[in-house]
Amino acid sequence: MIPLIPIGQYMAGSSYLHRRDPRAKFIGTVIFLFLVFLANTPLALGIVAGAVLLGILVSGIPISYIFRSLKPVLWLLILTAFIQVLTLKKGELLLTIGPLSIYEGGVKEGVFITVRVTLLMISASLLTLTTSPIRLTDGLENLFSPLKPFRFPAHEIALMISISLRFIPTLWEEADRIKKAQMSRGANFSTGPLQKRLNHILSLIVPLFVQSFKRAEEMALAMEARGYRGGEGRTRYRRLEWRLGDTLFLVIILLIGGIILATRYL
Amino acid sequence: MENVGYTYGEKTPFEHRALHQISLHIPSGRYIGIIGHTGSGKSTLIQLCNGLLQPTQGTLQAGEWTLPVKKGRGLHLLRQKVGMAFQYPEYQLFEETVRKDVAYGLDNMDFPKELISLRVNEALRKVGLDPEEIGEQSPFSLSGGQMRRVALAGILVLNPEVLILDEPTAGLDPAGKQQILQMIARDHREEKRTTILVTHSMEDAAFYCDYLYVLHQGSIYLEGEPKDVFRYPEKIRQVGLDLPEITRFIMKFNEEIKAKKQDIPPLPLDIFKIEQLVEEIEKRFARKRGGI
Repeated sequence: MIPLIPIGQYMAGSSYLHRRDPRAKFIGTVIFLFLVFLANTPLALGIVAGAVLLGILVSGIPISYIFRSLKPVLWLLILTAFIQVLTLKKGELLLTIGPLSIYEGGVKEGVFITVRVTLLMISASLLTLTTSPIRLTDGLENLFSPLKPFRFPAHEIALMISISLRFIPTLWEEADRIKKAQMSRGANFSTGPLQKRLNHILSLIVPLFVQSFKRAEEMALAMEARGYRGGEGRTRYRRLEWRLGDTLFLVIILLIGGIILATRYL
Repeated sequence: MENVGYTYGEKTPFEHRALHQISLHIPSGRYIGIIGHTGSGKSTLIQLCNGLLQPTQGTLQAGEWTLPVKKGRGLHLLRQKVGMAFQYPEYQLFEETVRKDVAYGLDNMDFPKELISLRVNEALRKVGLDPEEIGEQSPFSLSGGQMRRVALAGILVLNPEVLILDEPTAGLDPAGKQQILQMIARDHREEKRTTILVTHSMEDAAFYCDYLYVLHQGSIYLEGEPKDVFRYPEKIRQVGLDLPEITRFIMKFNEEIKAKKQDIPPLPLDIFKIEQLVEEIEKRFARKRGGI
């Protein structure tokens, strides 16, 4: 089996961050994302970075693992930094290479953007790394439930998200198996003329779709057989409990926000 | 196969060692059975045999190929010689018609068109389907058992030297099971094809195979001819497997006659066919009656 990409993969644990209520973590992360953009001085950004680092240390997740999840966006980071450096013409002229000229302001903005996006990515993955998908969707459903009177389908959306998350590994395994079966019949997915390769890909996609439809139907039947009829009046096995620690978590984040706002007026 | 080991997801936090130092040699023309509990490494072992997985330790010799090879070069040629049917092979069907689907493997080998149609008909007949009747139907309109046979035809059509089957009868009714197993046995006899059957059923393994490997936690636990493997009921039960029904019957029978001190010679343990068993029992009781 091909191992899955580590972005957003939950890592079980029992750290302070793991134990927080998903709602607290979700609200906290959203506030934190705003803070990343509010921080526009090196000092403020440093504080935010320090907070992220503290979060990683508290969560007990190896730093190397977190940086590995940054790999896929590495090129995006380099590209945005590059564009910033080359196009922003502010401050002192530093260097001219042929038609390109690099200004002090550009370099500064380039570094800022890179650090910001990195911090955004890390804090978002800290949320998914320390929260199991089920708790995350429970939290989301709960947060959006006040919108129900406005016909916002909070329960249905949460259900859809949890079903999709549940079936990602299953689909992955199945794709792997069908791929191997077709390879045993001489399919070659990596070389050969384009038209043939398209046919090979078709030999992968058609069975995968057939299986998925069949499974969806079976699952709907199984749910109905067990009396599922939507979110109305449904009680829960897993209860969300807001503890003192959760309030504390949000207070800490707001405090960091306050410090950052204060630095703007220093 | 020498000292072959396989580790899933090497050097990640999810590393999992599936096979340990397995050494075995499969002469051509045999009918081999691989039995073992779920998670004993059966599937990994057979995937190594046609290069879908490459050994992470040790080397594997298959015909003129030696694995591991770099970048999987030429492995599709090995896969033409080693046909592999996965569990629930009907999931691999995808073409619009049965005929096209069976022909897929030959198409990939750039076989001449006229020959393809001949071979497809031959393969469909071999699995007990009428090419005239269902050849132009969509494979998805067939019954589960028929779909499975179409999928097996899609592998047999390549005429591989080695045929590997991973639980070909999973989820079929008893009649369908016997049909498939008999078809495979006939194909093995007629084509002298080396056949490797992975199964959970001790009865099938004992009845059809001439040599068995029992896997347990990624190592070979027992090997030998069925009568030798099933001679040690405690050993077999220790790894969560059981004896074939017929062997259990023979053992019980022998115990009974021993307990009642009857003057009947015990039944030999190497009987795996019902007819043979009936014959042996009749012989014994006929002799007794004759003696009175």
